[in-house]
Amino acid sequence: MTCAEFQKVLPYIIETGGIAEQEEHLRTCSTCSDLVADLKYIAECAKLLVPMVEPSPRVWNEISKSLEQEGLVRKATPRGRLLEPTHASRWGPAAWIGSAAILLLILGGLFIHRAHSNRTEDASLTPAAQPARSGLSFQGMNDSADQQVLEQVQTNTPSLHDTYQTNLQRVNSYIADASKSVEQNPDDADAQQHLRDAYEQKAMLYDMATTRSLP
Amino acid sequence: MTFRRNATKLVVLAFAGMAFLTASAQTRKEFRYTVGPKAAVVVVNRFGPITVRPSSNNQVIATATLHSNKVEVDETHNGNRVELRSHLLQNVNPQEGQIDYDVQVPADAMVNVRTATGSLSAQGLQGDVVLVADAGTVDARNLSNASVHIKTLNGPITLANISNGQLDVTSVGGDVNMNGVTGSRVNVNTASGKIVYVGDFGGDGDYTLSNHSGDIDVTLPQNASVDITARSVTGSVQNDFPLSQKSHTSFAPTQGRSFAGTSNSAGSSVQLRSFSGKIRLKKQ
Amino acid sequence: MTQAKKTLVPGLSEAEAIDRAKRGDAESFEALYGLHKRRVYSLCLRMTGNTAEAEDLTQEAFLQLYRKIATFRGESAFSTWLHRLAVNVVLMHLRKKGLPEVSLEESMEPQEDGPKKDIGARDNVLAGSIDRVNLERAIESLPPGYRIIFVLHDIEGYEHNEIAEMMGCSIGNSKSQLHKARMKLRDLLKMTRAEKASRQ
Repeated sequence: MTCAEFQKVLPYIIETGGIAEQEEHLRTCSTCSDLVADLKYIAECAKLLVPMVEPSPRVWNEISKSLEQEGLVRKATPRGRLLEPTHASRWGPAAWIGSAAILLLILGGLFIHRAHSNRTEDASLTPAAQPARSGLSFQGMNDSADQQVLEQVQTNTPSLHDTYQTNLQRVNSYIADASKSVEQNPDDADAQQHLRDAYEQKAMLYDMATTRSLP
Repeated sequence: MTFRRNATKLVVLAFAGMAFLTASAQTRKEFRYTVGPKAAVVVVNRFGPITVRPSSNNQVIATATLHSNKVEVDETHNGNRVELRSHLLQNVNPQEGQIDYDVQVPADAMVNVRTATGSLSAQGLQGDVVLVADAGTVDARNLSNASVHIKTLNGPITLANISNGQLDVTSVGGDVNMNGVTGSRVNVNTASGKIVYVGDFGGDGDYTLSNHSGDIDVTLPQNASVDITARSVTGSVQNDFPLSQKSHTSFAPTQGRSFAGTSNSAGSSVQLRSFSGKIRLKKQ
Repeated sequence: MTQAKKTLVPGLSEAEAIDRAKRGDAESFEALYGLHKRRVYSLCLRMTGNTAEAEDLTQEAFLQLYRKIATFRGESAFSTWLHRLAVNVVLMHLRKKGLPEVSLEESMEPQEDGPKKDIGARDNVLAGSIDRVNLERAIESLPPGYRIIFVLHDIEGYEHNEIAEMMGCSIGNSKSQLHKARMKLRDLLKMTRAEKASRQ
């Protein structure tokens, strides 16, 4: 079998394997085996391309507007929100804490997944490591994720390590104060909003530390 | 005496020589692209400032000053998208890795820039703008009809004359100074940064200025049309602006910790929220 | 993403969020958007190569999702359902633009007569030398027809029979186009590597 004959059928056998003659050619021909190795390597690397980019906030703004216009959601009333009588949210304060904290869980999980992807990206044909299991408590993951964030900053841009460390302390302090306030006043919408703001800031910090948009 | 003067001259000459050598290691590169309406322009830098301003035609013109030969600019131009990205060739220090960008874009371009250490400046634009600076300052002025998003960790943010759009600012430790900033929705969220607002809130929009431990200072003209609520959870509030009392609020105003009221036709909704900082409302 | 139960909020699973979204709950919509926006947007961006188009298509995909969410019965994973919807949105958009989704001709580019014989081939294998940025750039610069098949198969994990059904082509054609996409990427990545080496 010649290389030309082998490469002609390659598109149809690369995933499933070929007949004995084709496999024999692959075993003995370095040109074709290198070609197959390259093509498989490209395919494996493609699998590791984790979605890293986000649409701009404009996209959600437009979706939100359309949902209201089409009557698919109950109309939000951002103006005069505080004019509505105070009442416990439908989900309760724990859900507000949780809904703000999912930003961190998602980003923490994404960070760990990226960290694993970074380590395996150079290894040929090694499957990506699985993201951290959710068996860790939220607090445990938080501390661990904080440390990993700082380690990554130290590796990528050591000159920014202190900046990130200082600001991580600031947001953690905000989260601690706001959490305490929500525990003491579970019906206070303002306290809940502060907690969400605090988590949003931490999520932003994680995102900035871990995004690979920086050269 | 003569010896000391000569020694001083030698030192001055040495510094001048070093400066010359440093300057001569810098290279300037210019990139030009012709684009269509609403082009997307992305600039990503690690060390160094980025300035974005409008061009007079449908071209993107970027000038990059590279501070050493250990850094280069990777450029990509795909259709209506231009991307310039600093590329550090090897482990370099911040001085060697610095690139200064000056970018002119069509006014309606969608601009997305990020620098880790260095200032960001955007002016005169009418397309969506995203500015991200880890530790640099941000200065945005004369932006209109657009969504503006700003994120920093440390950098102080200065905003002036921004109108007819939406504004989202998140800064962990940086102060936010606003003068003449109005829009349909303006959100500013900092942890320890101070927030200063001077202006009239536009008369028709939703504004939320919120922080953890920083102060919030707002100065309004007498004719401002606002429905304003201010509350500090553990800090204090001070009102020196005439407000009509609101008949309904969602919380019981506490002397020294909160106040609420309206002025003129209560066109804009303004919420000032600090966790432990001081909120001050003053008349211009 | 695994098929395991995904939790958006303590005590609230994705299934419950979908349920609430069916009843018009705004926060559930937003939570679902937050969970899936990156994957949908990345798909749109890779298939179109244009951020403005990708954002518009992301918006359209989610709006269609929300309009149809009442019909989701849970026969497949929600992410699979959403993903398929997003792919259809992109393909419809490309059809309207008149771009060739898949070249029905076997050769878009001249075929080489013989095999490529690289001198010192062993030194030129790609293994271990691709980084994410270069691969993304190379994918971006593929011709649209190749890029779509590559994205659907190698990145998004669709099988050839699924691609053939979506694109209205044969399974053989799908395999052939994928092969050409990978060959083109191989050339691009080798060129990039050679350029970098010559700069050093």
